[in-house]
Amino acid sequence: MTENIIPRKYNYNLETGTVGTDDDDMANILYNINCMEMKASYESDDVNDMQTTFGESFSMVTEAAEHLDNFIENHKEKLRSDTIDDAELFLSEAVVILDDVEPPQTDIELMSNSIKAAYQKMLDAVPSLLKLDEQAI
Amino acid sequence: MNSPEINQIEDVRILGEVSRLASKYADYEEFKRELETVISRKEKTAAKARMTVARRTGNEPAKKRASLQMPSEEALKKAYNYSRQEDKIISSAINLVQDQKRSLNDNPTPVHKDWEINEIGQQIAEGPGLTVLDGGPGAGKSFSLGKAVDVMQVPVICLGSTKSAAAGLYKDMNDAQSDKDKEAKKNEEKIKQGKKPKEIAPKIDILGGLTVDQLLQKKPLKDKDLQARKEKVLEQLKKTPKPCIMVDEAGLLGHKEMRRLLNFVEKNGAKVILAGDCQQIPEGKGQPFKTLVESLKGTKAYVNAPYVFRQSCFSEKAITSGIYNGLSSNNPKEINKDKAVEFLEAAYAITGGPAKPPKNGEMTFQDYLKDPKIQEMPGDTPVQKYVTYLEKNKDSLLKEGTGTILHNYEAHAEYESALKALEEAKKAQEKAKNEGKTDLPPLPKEPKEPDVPKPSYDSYMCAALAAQQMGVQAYETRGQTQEPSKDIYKDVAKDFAENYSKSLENGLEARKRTALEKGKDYTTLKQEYPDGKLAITATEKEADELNAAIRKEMIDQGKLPAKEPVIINGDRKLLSQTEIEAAQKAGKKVKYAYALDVKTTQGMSQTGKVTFVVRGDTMDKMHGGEILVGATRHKGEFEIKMDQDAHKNKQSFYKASVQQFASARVIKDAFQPDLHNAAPKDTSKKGKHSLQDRIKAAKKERKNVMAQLKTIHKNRALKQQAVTRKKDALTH
Repeated sequence: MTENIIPRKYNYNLETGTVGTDDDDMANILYNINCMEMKASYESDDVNDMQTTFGESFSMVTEAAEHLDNFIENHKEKLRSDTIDDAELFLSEAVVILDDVEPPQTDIELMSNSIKAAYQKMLDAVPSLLKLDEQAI
Repeated sequence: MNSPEINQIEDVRILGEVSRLASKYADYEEFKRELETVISRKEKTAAKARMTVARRTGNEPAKKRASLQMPSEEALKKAYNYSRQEDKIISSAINLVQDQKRSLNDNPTPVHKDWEINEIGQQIAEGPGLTVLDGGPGAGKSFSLGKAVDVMQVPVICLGSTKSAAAGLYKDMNDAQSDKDKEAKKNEEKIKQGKKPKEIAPKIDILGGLTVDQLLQKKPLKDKDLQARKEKVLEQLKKTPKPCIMVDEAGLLGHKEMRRLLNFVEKNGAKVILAGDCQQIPEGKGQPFKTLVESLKGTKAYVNAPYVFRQSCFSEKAITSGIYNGLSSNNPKEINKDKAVEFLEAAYAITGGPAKPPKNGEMTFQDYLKDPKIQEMPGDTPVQKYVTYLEKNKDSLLKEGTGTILHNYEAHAEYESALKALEEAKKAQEKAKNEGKTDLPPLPKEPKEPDVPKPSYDSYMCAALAAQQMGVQAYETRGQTQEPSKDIYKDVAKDFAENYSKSLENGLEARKRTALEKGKDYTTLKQEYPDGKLAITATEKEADELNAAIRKEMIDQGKLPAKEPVIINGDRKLLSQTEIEAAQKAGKKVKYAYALDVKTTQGMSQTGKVTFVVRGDTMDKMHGGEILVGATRHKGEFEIKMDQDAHKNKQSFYKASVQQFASARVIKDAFQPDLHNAAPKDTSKKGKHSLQDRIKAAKKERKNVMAQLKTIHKNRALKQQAVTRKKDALTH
């Protein structure tokens, strides 16, 4: 286990809620990002462990992208298109990074690095997500 | 996490969904259909993501990717079965329960069923190969296990879900066994004196003191002592009679651990007793103990410990013990009234689980304190008034208590002498028989054990206070817990007689002394002090109401901060849409918030107080709020503590919390929105950890460091110049 090199940023202050948001989709995206932090920090020498972690990470990333679609659909009148584009791009990149890992996969390092890279992309999406949240009020 | 069955599925991208859905759907076909839907949805999402990236970057979509595929039927079935750990646990449990060989109840030693803990112990011992003991904090679970050991008479392997639980059980069991040596010594003396010795159960081998993980892991343990214990355990499991495995705090075992444990037990042919609180939240996935409890309810394999012994605050014993322990001030001769009040207030407010149900003629502590004799006393609160009342009536109350206890001694003395007479008569009869006499001496009637009257509640309380005042070590210390025994009166009475005799009437003192010395001849006292009987109890509902009232009062007085409670969904699962709708319908505001990375719940069972260990940022996020656990029936005290080791040992922290984190969510105001409704939101900390602030802080720090570096460089250069100048001067 190496040091967790990715900065932790799971404390998001949202305008639409006290410590969360009334909007399920936005809350779930941020929740998934939080969960991804743990996945990105997890390292094991066991292939099975890493495969399971990878599978869980893929679920989280795609779920976040699905929730973003829903969020945009629900609040599209209030949201700015450039902010939408930013958020969409980062989350899509995160999905693509993990989707590119070809099955069957036993390369621990590749899986671990992909999870970290995808998490980083998700983190990059946070500022735009917060902006979207503000715009949605 | 180590899941070879799951990982026979080649496409690693769908592993997460497989395990998630498998634990959600009990029906395989349903699971398969749902998985197909999810996979096709994910496929679309991934394809869309590729298009988005290509569009935004202006490139063609990257190389052709392998689409998400449904795994083969065989692999999927294996993965499904692996993920349905719950089923496996239940089937193991059924095997264990049905296995007659393991029940060990051929010749159970009967215990005297005089009180509930003994009964529970007997039930556990007589239970089948797997017995679950469910009870809340302070319900006497660990103590009942001790009782069960004496009944079963087989070696015991003590395990725990956590290190402290394992060590605690191991220590308690060993202490109980070593107490038997002391008892045996006492018995020897009694026999020498011609007295009847006390019955002692034979000593039992106590092994273990390990966590479930430590016992089951294949690698040898680093700690040599633990490794030696582990080897002994494994050796014992090969012998007959098979030992009994006892697991304390089993409510904290996750699915994986529970499954491995039951497999291990099945293989080794031992009996297993799982003691825990099914409302506890395990660190790992699932709540297997709860599953077992629910599956085995109503069978012999399920034993419930419904009453709170340790914290039945309204029981005289607990309060007395609390006062006595709470009053250990520096000067034992002085009653620390403040502490007594403090303890009683706490007892008054405690809601550590259901108290004993009220029986005929009993009343609640609250009702009792409404008595005019107490209400007349000076004091701000009912409890303060009560303590003043006790102090004021100390002498008479002590007299009463002493009188009652002396009465008991007399009754017992009569009973014992009658027993002795009976035995002698039997011997005489036998002797006559042996001598061939036909005219046998008649036998006296078998005496009945006297119904021992209890001292009145007030006098009992007062005795505790007086015991403290006089510095009388009135009861024995057993391990860490001090429990008052009935001997308290013996000692109190002794000191009472010595210290207060002068104020007593002529003759009474002498009688009292005689009574204490000889244990009889105190008829006068017996007539003077009738026995009082009052057990004070409260139901859970009453306790809840009391607690709420006290909380409200304290908030009004400013003693308690009015903070928003944060309620964790105790099941630590997401609320379903139906649940959310139900809550909203009931006018409750449901909000999702960030994952509260609860590392563990500490010491719930031991203290009734739950400590949530969370990371620093979560602490800030809570606004210092109070945590109530929705699914936990023990709405006691809760505290949030920052995890001290999080920074020291990230590996273990992440590993431990990775599973929890994935399934934990905080739900604000989901269950009790009215409790602190008026609480203002603490906005002082807002933005403290926002991205912008972090960047600002980092920039500021960088600036400081740069400034420091500059100074260092500057000083170094100046020093170098000075050295060069000095060298030059010397050369020239």
